[in-house]
Amino acid sequence: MSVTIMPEAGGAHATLRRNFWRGVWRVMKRKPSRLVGVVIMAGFAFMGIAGPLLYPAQLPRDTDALYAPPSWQHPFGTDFEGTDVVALVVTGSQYVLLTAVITAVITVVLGTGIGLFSGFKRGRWDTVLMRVTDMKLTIPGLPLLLVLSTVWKFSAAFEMGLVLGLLGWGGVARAVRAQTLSLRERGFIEAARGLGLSTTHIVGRELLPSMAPYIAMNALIAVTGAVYAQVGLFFLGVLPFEASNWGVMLNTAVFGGGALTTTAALPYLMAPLLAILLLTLGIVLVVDAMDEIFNPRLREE
Amino acid sequence: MTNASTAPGVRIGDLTVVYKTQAGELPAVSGVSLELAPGSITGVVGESGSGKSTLALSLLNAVQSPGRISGGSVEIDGLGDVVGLRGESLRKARGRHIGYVFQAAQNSLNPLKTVGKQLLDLGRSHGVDDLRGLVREAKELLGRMGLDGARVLDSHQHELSGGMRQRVGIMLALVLNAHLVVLDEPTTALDMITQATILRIIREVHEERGLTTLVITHDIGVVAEVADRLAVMYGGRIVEQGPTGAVLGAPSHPYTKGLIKAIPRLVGSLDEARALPGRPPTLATVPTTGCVFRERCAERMDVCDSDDPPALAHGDRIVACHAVGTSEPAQLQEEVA
Repeated sequence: MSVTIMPEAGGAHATLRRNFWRGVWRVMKRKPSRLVGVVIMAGFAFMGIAGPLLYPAQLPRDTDALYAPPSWQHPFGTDFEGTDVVALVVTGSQYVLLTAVITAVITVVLGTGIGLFSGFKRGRWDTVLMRVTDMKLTIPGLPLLLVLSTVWKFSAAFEMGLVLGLLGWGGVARAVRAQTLSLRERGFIEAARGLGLSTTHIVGRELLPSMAPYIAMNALIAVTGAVYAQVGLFFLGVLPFEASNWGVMLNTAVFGGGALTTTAALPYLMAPLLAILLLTLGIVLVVDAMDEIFNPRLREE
Repeated sequence: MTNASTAPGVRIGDLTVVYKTQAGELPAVSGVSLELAPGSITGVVGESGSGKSTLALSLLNAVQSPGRISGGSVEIDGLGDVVGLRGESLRKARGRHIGYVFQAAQNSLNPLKTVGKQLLDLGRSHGVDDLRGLVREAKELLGRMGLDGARVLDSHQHELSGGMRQRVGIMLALVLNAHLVVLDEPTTALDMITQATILRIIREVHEERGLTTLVITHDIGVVAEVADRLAVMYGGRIVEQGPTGAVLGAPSHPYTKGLIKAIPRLVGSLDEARALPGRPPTLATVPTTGCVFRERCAERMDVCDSDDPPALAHGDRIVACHAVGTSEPAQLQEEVA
């Protein structure tokens, strides 16, 4: 055992890192469903990054087969132009997933940053920031988006993600602040202060890791929230669109193809829905492992 | 390294710490003067809420808001007046000059990190270049306290017992070579045998490394075991201080007398142990004028209502009581015995 921590300080660091990933693997292995979740999420990540590269910029159209039923050639049939639905789902994923990731990053970074600062500093800054947060929480999201969509086209994923992220950080900030207020009174934080550790260290290396499972969970939930929100907007048709994405597909399937009244466009409707369902499932399965990953006590045995 | 001459002396002068409450600023520690001689172990005893921990935290200038040090000084040799220290210089002093073992050291370790990682964090925060040497030093200290250093450093908090965590706490307080060590309730929540072990370790490490030690406790037994000098706190004041043996053997302040009377003896009837009447004052109920102890005092006089008794030297001890000095300590000794 003596070699695990020493002989070298740098080595010790590396060893602990490695132990962490070994622990993560153990946690994942404990429930195979978690591995399934990871595989699903990795699949979506690959789809979002490399998907559009797999197809030509202008997807081939088969004008002889409009709303073709599922076949080996077109597993989910074709759309109103005769384009393969699977190809549409894959190429349309980039906008959706990129938006979701940007939203999650903004939500978590802003929420955690403001929550930590407020909870740790307390006093005047806390009051000001929390009043701002409260005000932000009272802004209704959907109506604001509807209004914004009249002036903004959201043609880039970044714009969409920015708006959704700025709308979403309030809850996280509140919750992180509450956690910080509770954690900062704990013995080990007091001890860290008494032993002369710097404030940056205390906030970044002692407080933050204790909240890591919660924050990671919120990031993943923000991803699903962002997917629902933007797909909903496109589905309602309040956003003008130039390129295809899952929400646009749902919109055209229902309002263009009449998927709710005829069966012809049903596969076209089902494909993006299935993609959203699968993504949510993958996230739920991974979230299940978060607590055990970050808590060394649960990570072992 | 283990050199008694490096032990710093500490002079606490007229220290007052107040807490801000609805009812204004109330003193948790008022006008405390205490001197820790270099190389000595000083014990501070008192009931819960008597201001012991606040006094100890003042040594680090670490009284948390809504509390603040409103007056007085804490002079530490080689460091100056801690009350005036701010920011980086204060942070560096903590851990390096002053080692602090926290109340409930069982909860003083980060549950998410191994002890070794926390040790490295500590080293980096204090700009230690030789981290390998730091780890070696930590292992040596842990070994000295009867633990397997390598195993402990590779453990998380939940893998250690209460006594082991307490020793880890002591190790972290000493590993940066602090020569002034403050132990806040070092044996609370430990079983008797572990208590005895910890006390022995405190004594031994104190002598080997040449430390100045301050032990805060509510357990007179602990103080009797380790301390050279003893200070008794009541209502934010030190009511009596002097050599441990003398204070415990022949207490002169009525409160100290009451405390000792309340201890059940090994021999004789249990009924002889007599609890102090009344209850200790809280921040809000502590009298602002006159003696803080008068409500519970058996030797109350008229002057106690109006005048705060000054802390006066009586031989080798300092007592703050109007009744002391009029009667001789020798007489009191008979009374107790």
